[in-house]
Amino acid sequence: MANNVLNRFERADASGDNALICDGTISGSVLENLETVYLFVYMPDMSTADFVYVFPRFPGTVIGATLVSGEDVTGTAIFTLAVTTTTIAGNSLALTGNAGATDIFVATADNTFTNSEVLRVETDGGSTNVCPAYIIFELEPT
Amino acid sequence: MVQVLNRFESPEDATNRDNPLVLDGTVEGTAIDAIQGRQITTYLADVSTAASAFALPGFAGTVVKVTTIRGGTIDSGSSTVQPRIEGIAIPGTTINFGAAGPGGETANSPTTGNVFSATDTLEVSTTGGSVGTSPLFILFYVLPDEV
Repeated sequence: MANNVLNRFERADASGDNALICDGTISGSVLENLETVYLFVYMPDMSTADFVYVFPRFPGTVIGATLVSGEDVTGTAIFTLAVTTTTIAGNSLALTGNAGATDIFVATADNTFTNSEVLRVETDGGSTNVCPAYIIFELEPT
Repeated sequence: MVQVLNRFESPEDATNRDNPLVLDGTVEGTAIDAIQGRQITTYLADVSTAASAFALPGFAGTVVKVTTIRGGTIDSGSSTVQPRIEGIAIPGTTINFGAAGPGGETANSPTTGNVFSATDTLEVSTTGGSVGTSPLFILFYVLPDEV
């Protein structure tokens, strides 16, 4: 029906299903949670100064990130997150200690990206033995 | 008058039929479960070397399924791979890898011991008893506690 509103419940069919049609605007805190995207990046050795990247291929905002180390390490590796080459502002981020050590990053500024920009994780290589790092970006598409 | 948290709002005008659906309250149902499911991946560089791979989702939820794909050839021996939550094995998800070529897939759907908190790590450990370097790609399919 041409005059139907864009968001609506349709009349129930024989099964009792009254389809919820969402052809209009949807908003609200629930929707923001449903839209959240988690992207995983693997760093083979956080004890060697280096970068790893991930390419979301959509525009959005970096909400935060989580890190886990894969081995026992001595020393501390300090991490920096960036959109392309611009550092994302937020709390400091570091891993040290036993396998499974974690740290959590919350972005505060310089955290928006376009659909042609990459997300970058940099380690300063400050720890002293080979240790993988497991990073998950929490993203909100625009 | 208090506005309800989930609501259809009125269309903007006579020509625009968009009546925004605002979802600020509880939303539930099988369709929502399907939408809100998250895939948390991690990577084990070599299943034949005793080690663990990790991921930190950063939210609370339930592991619904664990799938793996082997990336290399195991020549001989056997490695036992165990998905874990904060170091504790998830029942019904143990996988044994023996001699085989790349590409083998596994899928397990745990029903107990599969709930994690916002600070818990997901882990996959291997005993490393096999021979032959083979990476393992792991996917935890999880349902967050809150939409």
